[in-house]
Parts: sequence; structure tokens; C-alpha cells
Amino acid sequence: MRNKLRRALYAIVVALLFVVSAESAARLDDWMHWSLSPLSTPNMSEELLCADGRILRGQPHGKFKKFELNEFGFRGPEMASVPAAGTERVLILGASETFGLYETTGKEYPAQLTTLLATSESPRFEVVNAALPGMNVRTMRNYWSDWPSRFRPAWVFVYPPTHLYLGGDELPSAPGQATMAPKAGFQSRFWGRLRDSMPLAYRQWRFRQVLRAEVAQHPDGWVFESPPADRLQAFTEDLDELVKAIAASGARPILLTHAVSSATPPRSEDMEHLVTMRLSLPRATPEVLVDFEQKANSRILAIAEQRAIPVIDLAAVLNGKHEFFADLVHFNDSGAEVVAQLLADWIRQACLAHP
Amino acid sequence: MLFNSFVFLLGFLPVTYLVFWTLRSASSRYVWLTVTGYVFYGYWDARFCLLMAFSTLVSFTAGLGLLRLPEGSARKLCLIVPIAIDLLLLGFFKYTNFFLQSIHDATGLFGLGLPVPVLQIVLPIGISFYTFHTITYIVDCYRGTIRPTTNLFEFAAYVSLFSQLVAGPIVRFRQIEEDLEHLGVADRRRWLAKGVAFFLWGLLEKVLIADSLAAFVDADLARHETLSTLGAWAAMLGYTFQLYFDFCGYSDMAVGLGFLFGIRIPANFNSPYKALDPADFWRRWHISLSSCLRDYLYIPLGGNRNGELTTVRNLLLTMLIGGIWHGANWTFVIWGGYHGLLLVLYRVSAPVWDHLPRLVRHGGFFILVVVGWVFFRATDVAMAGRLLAAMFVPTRGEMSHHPGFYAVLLFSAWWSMAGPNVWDVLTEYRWKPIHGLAFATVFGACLAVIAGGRQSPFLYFQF
Repeated sequence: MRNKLRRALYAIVVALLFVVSAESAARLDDWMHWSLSPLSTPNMSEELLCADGRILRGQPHGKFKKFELNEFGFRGPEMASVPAAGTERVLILGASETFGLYETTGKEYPAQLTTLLATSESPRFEVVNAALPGMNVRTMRNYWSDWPSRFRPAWVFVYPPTHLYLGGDELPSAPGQATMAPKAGFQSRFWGRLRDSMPLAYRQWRFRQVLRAEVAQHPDGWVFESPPADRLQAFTEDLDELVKAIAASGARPILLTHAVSSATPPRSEDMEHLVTMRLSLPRATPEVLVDFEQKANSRILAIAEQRAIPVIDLAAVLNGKHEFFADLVHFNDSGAEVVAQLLADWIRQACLAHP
Repeated sequence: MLFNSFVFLLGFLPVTYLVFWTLRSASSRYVWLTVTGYVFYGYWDARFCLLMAFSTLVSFTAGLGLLRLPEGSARKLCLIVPIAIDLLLLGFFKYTNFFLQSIHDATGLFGLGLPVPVLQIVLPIGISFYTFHTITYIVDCYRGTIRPTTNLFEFAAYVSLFSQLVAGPIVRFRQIEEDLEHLGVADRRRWLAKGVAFFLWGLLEKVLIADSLAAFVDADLARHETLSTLGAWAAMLGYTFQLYFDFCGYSDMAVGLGFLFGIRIPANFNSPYKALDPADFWRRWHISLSSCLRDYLYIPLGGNRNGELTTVRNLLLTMLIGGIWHGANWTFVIWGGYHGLLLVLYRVSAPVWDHLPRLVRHGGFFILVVVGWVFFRATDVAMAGRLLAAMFVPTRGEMSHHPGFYAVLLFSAWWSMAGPNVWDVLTEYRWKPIHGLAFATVFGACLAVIAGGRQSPFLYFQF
């Protein structure tokens, strides 16, 4: 009996040591590589965003892992508040696709655009990545008016994250007073690492389990059977408002259609990305998601035509090409390079047409 | 498949281990080790398995020939043909493009610049190592040092033994022949704790030390043009320790894995940064390679038996070949030549050098080693030149500021230059339950870092 007790105690101590050591190592490793405090519970939103009146904007000098923001809360190098004489400021509005999640640092498409335009002497260009993760077009309206517009860009590229209009029970909202999510309590970084490094097959199986549970909690009809017309309409109106606001400020808006790794209709090889995305958008089946993307892109083209503003059809170039994407909507280094090249080519041509 | 990956630690290794010890006969264990070796190897690219199988069959057949032919020209053919085939394969996959590029560059010097095609050749991982295994086997059979095996799977298990397949140590057949012969009666319990201890020691060296340094060293060397003198020294010292803990960690893991399967793999490192001179260094660094170069190249060339000039020639030639064995790049040739030169200079100056204070010899020779690593690490000669200039001509510029980097640097300096190595600590190892606590601590820490997803491949995989 005593022997058994001793063995059990030994096993408990070994297990405890294992866990404590793993957690400590994960925290020290984060400190070594990202300068994250070992005692904090870092959270991307908390480190990179701050509430400012009715908007959330980038935290000045915010830093989280590989992401670093400048004095004004934009991802990229430090800049002056007003562009230097002879310099045209190119500002890009968007969400995480533009901010850059999966690209190597410096390979997100606004950064690559900076490099491509660096050879231009007259005018000189300065690219500002004003995108923030999680921002939809509705919140972008207030954000534009209250923050990036102050920096006097000459050109404003808008890369609207269309898919975000399929998330949540309600339409995306632009709250009167922005608030940060409450601070998270203790979270095991070792467990987080383990979860992220599980094999893909296991993660997809877990996704499906979670999704099934989520759908089961809601009444029939909760899952969209076709692209929801009200959300499509909301997206159209919000984008139109944003474009008008940009034009009213004296800057030149340019729209980009939204590219996804899936083809229309989705192929079997597209399912991995579509299923993963459905975790964030449980109401949208793969077919609805792809259909919505296509319809939203048609609306983008229609707004551009109606308002006589330029549009670059990224979807036509990139849709269905997995080699350019890290997931359904986010680019990898190569995808970001293609986007940057398209934008650079367009800017050069525009300069030639209207010197 | 990397030793420091989940798929290896939590999948491949436990399955291989359990099935191996469930099997009873030596023959079935040979087959299992062969199968798992090919799975391990094919995980990178299954096509490479065919090449290894071909090389194995050629050498095995040659061994059978040597067994049946006690003398004569046919016996010589059994030596020459398989070695020629092995070297041709190695030459084609590893050196073709280097050769073509060198022709282009050389003719360019005379204004010709002959256009040469760059072939799309994928270098099979570990080819340099298993080619060494097969060649040493054939030469030893020919010399009569070992009796060729007649069991194909015993030989295939030796060549494809996953513990030392892709990055060494270069284990000669004769070194593990006895253990292979007795594989059917190997004692699992006898070696288990020692195997785990060696493996975890190596894992710690690789994951916690080498990879921690790598993050800073790689970033610094990627911007080496902008480094200050201090920054260049910090980066190169970081690389010096990274390389040691990376390769030594791999070798210690290989030894541990060998123990787990009842095979005693010899030591590959003996605290090389404690060396006081070049000869001492090469008795401590990559011992399996330097002893192979000595036994199969330097001594057959004549060694030091035919006067000073021939000895100098032999030393330089051996080290140049050792250098280019590491990679198809002029930087490796220079690195090999540099060490050859150090050996020659030491030979001349030993009476003086050996009487200098120990601290001077230790520190002085260590700096010479660090300078050598500049060529080893540089991607081309120009980069090596820029790094050396930054190190020796006072330069303003950038450097790492993270205190963690310097903490690991100092700790690794102490450990490698004054601390114990795995063989000092574990040669007479006996399991005690308290060690389970240390195992859990090390394994937990390593697993957490591996789960971070930034583990790098072993540096010696490229060779």
C-alpha cells in the first residue's frame, strides 16, 4: 500500500514538474523571440489596438510577436504626420489581409509595394498600411474619418474584407463608443502552443466537432442557405459611404475586389480552407461563402462604375490559386508579392496617364 | 523527419521502439530497423530511398564478392567498382552544379565566361554520410578488418539506421558489428535509462541552446553588412556555439537512440572548444569524420612516414577534401585549407606553442577556430570577406541587444569551454528514480519550445 502511494506521489511530482517546466520554457521562449514579458498574458488585440473615442485604432508603438506599429499605430516604419513635399502618400485601408498575418515581416503587400515604388523619383511615394485586423467596412467608415484621413493621403486603396459580413448573429456594427475587450486571465502558453501544433487532420476534426456543436445550439434556418441579401446590401451601402467619405476628403479612392483561395464553385481542394474559415463564420456554408464573395465583388465593381472610381480586380487574378494564400483569405509572401506588383503597376500607369 | 519534431518524438520513435522490442529474433529486428530507416528517410522525399537502396545493394554485393574472392584482380574490382559508383553518385548529386559554375567563373576570368547549364539537381539529404558508411564497409572488407556480412538486412539496417543516417556520426560497420550480431539477445532494460539520458541531453543542447542562439545569429548574419565590430564578433561567437550544440546535440541524440535499440554508437565530440591546438581540436571535433579521413585518406596517402614535405602535402590534401566533403562551395574548400594550414603551422611551431601558458593556447586557438567558422558559415567568399573585415577593422554598426542572447551565449561558452560533456557525465550512468524528475523537466521544456514551431533543421543535414 505504502509502495503504491509512493509511486502515485512520484508520478504526480513528475507530471507537475513536466507541466511547470513546459510552461516556464514557453514563456522564456516567447521572451527570447518576441520580447513578451514572461509574466503577462499577451493578447494580440490588447497589444495592438486601443480605444480612441468611437473607434479602435492601432496602439502607438504597439508590439506583439512579429507585428510592430509605428508612432501613429500603423504597421510599418515611422513616418511624419504630413507627407514631405514632393511625396504622395498612398494609404491602404483593410483588415488582416492587408495588415499581414502570415507573411514574413516586411513581405506584407503594403511593405512590398513600398519597395516596388521606391525607385520612383517624381513623384516619390510613401505607402501607409492603415489596416487593422478584424476591421469591417462599417467600422472602417468611422476609422477613416477619425484617424487615417488626418495623414493627408493622396491615394487611398480600399481592400474590403467582404467575408466579415457573414459573421455573427447581427450585422457588423459601428458602436458609438469603442471599448476594448476585457483583459484575459491566466492562459497557459504551453497549452496554446500544443493546440496550434496538432496535426491538420486532428484540427479539422476538432473544427467539425466545434462547428456541429455551434450549429446545434441554434434553431433551424440559422445557417444561411443562400447569400443573405440584407448583409450584401449592408456591405454595399457601407462601402459606398466609405468611398464617398474618402473622396470628400480630397483623396483619391481606389477599390480592390476581394480575393479568396477558393474557386467558384468550390473544388474539393478548396474545402480545407473553407472548413477552417467556417469556424469564424459558422453560419456560412462553403457554397454560401463563395457565392457571397462573388456577389460582393460584383457590388464592388458596380460601385466603382457608378462613382467613376478606379478598381483593381484582384479576385480575377488570384481566386482559386492556392499557391498565393496561407488560408482562405490571407496571402502568403508570394500572394502579397502579386498584389503589390498589381498595385505598383496600376500606380505607375495612373501617373503616366495623369502626370 | 527531425529528431526535434512531434512526429518523431510522439509518433515514429515510440512505435519503432515498441515494435522493435516486441520482435524477438535478430533477423526480424534487422528487417524492422531497415523498414523504419527507409520510412524515416523517405519522409523527406521517397525518391531518395531508391538511391540509398541502390547504394546498399551495390556495397552488399561487393562485400559478398570480397568474401568469395580471397585474392586477385577480381577482388580489386570488388573494391574499386562499388567505391567508384558511390563516389560518382555523390559527385553527381552534390558537386555537378558546383563544378559547372566553377568552369563558368574560371573561364570568366579570361573573358570567355563559357555558358554552362545549371541543372535542377536535388541533393539527397544525408548522402555524404551513408556514402561514407558504405565506402568504409567495403574498404574494411577488402583489408580484412571485418568479415563481410551475408545477411542483406543486417547490412541494410546498418546503412539505414535512422539514428545516424542523415547527419552522422559516421559509424563504421566494425564499430557496431558486435551489437548488430547480438541484436536478437539485446537487453532492453540495460540500456533504456542510459539511452533516454543521452537523448534528452542532446535534445536539450539542440532545442534549448542551439536553436535559441540560432534565432539571433541568423538575424544578425542576414544583415551582416550592417554589423559593428562587436556585433560581428557576437554573431560569430553565437554561431560558433550554435554549430557545436547543434551538431553535438544531434550526435548525442543519435548515441541515445542507439542505446535504446541495443546498439552502442561511439562518441563524436569530446569538448572540442577545450582544445589547445589544431591537432587536439581534430581529435575532439566530429571524431568519426576526422578518424575516417585519417584512416582512409591520410594514412593511405603516406601519413607522416615519408618526410616533412609529403606530410605537409598529405595534411593539406586531407583537410581540403574534408572541407569540400562538407559542401559544394569554395567557402568549404577555404575552411578545409585553413585548418590544413593550421595543422601544418602547428607541426612546425609545436615546440614553442606547447610551452605557452595554457590560457594563451586555449584562448588563442579558440579565436582561430572562430575565424575558421566565418568561412564555414558564409554563403560565399564575399560574405566571408565582409564578416572578417567587420570583425578585424573597427566598424560602427548594429548588433543584437537582447539580454537573452548574451545570457545563452555566456552559458554556452562556459559549458563548451569549461563544463562537462555528455560522456563525462553519463558514461557510467546508473538510473535512480530521482533522475525521472530531471527527465520530466528537460522533456517538458524541450516539448514546449518545439511546439513553438520555430525549430530549425540540424545544420549538418545540408552536408
